[in-house]
Amino acid sequence: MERRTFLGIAAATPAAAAALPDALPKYRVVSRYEPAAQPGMPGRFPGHVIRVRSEHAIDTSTEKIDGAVVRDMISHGMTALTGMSDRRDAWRSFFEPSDVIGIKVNCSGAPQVMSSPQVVADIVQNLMAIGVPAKQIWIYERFPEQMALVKYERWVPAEVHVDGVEKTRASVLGYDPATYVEVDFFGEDDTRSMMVRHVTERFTKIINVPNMKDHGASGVTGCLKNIAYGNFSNVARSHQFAKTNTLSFIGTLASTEPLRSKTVLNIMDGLRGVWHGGPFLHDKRFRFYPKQLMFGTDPVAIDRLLLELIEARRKSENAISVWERSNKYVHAGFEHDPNANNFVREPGHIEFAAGMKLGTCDTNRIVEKAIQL
Amino acid sequence: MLLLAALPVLLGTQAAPPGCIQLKAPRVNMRANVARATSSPWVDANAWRFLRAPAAPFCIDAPGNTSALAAAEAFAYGVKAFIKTSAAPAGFDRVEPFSRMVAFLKDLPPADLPAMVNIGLVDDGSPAAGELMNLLSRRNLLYRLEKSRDPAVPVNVTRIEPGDPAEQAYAIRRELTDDKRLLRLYGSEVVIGRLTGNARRARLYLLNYSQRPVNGLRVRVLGVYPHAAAHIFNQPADKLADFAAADGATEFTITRLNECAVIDLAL
Repeated sequence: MERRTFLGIAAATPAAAAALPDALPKYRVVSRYEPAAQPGMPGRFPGHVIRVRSEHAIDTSTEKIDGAVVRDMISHGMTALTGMSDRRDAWRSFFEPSDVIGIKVNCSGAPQVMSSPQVVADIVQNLMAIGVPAKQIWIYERFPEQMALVKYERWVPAEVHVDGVEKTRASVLGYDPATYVEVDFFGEDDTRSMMVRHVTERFTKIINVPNMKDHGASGVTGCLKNIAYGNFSNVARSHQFAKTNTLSFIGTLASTEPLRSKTVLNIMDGLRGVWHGGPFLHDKRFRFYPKQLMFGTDPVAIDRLLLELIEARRKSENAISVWERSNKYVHAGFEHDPNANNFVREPGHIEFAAGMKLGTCDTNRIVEKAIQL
Repeated sequence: MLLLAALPVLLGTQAAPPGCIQLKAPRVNMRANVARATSSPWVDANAWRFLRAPAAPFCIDAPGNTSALAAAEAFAYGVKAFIKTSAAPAGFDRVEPFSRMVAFLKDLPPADLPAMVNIGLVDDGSPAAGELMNLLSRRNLLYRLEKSRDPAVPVNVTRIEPGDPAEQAYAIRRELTDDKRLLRLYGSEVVIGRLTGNARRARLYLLNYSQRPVNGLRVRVLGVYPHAAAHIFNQPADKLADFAAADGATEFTITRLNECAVIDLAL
């Protein structure tokens, strides 16, 4: 197969980036994959977000999730997103029995905050209900040791694959060496971030199941961060000292083919959330319970609403804004002090991704439908 | 023809040869209690010392399993090395790791090829020059020592800058540019390569300085070499994965790298 190299991502960045004080890193994106006629992101419903909330989704005193309520929430979310009255038709409008489907979960806050097994199990059940064989469904994450804390295999049929990509930390064996983003951030010698090989060679479609979390580098971590940093090797190198390159790296990774084309659905699990210290949960004080799921094909629109939610929660807790850029707040103690930063955060990564045509960031153009169960 | 004299020798109870330069075992030095500017592992490599005195004999104190890497490192740089292993714990054959490595090296197809480099460096003999050479080696910025500027290499370093040698090493890398580097390694910070070759073939030595295998090393060698043969220490059946020779470069993955691998490439 002919290998094609796509250059000059920096040249395609949004106008907003031109006003940034720091020059953007120079990215080289290498992929042999062409975009689909309609890439999964922003997909069929750009700018549309369905938010389904139920007070009964989780018992905050026991942490117990009500599986029946979750099933109802997912059913309402999918039918509202697609405008179809039958949930099976809603799922059929995205997937067919021949698909090999990756469910990209987030386990970095496990075992307290992660893509809930009840949510993931219902996604699997819905896929199987429309004829997708269990053996064609893969629940995956980069780090197996984080996944092991959740034990998804207990919640899904045995034929469903549960796979952590990086069998040993930093190993490149689970990644496609011919599909990568190359960039030198800080003089590091390993300048390549390679895409998960399942994405390039196995999956036909991907469902993204992030959480609602604050993030010490990117401001928040939702759809974009989970699909970007969660599908490439060697990404932690984008932060050093107070500086993080998440502003432009997240969108660049997420827009790399075939990841962009294959990610057709986002279901954000906000049954639990983290309002400070993310992506991990270092301190249980920072966990909260939005008790909601968000649905959409547009990761930017969902993340834009997530940003508002996290920021509002931080404000109610008298924590500094995720937009705070003063170096005086960058000091030790981030894990336990809501007025400390690990890095100068980059919540602008969401707008940056919009500039890369991954979705809609303008709140005036985002159509949100809220369903209360 | 591979000269037996190039193979490292185990130094037993006999005296070290005269003029022998004493070296420590190559390894990754875990300095968990030392604050550093980066999280990169600290690699203790002898490459720069070999390049500074290629005709000298070296006596390397390499206890336990480190004797295998010490032997491979000396062989890769073509120096005469005497390896001294420590007293072994009960039940441990102190000679065995060294012997296995020497057997591996002895079985390699003959190849007497000159070093392939991007950089010519005029060594003033100072400690600062030594540290710069060390950093170039550790970052796989391939160099040789010259008496004066060499028009045959893309980058010449004729002056050791005062200040941080890491900054000069990075400046050299930027002047060269990554695209022109003869060797790039991805997936590990603890592997150092040495590339030798001529117009028709190349031999790449890969040395893993950590005390555990590297599971997955992606290698890029500048130049299109459609033919490759892998010799991987303790992994005799392993083949190169995801091999590609196109677009001006040859790339492949070594799925498991123990102390050493030798890759022969040919047009």
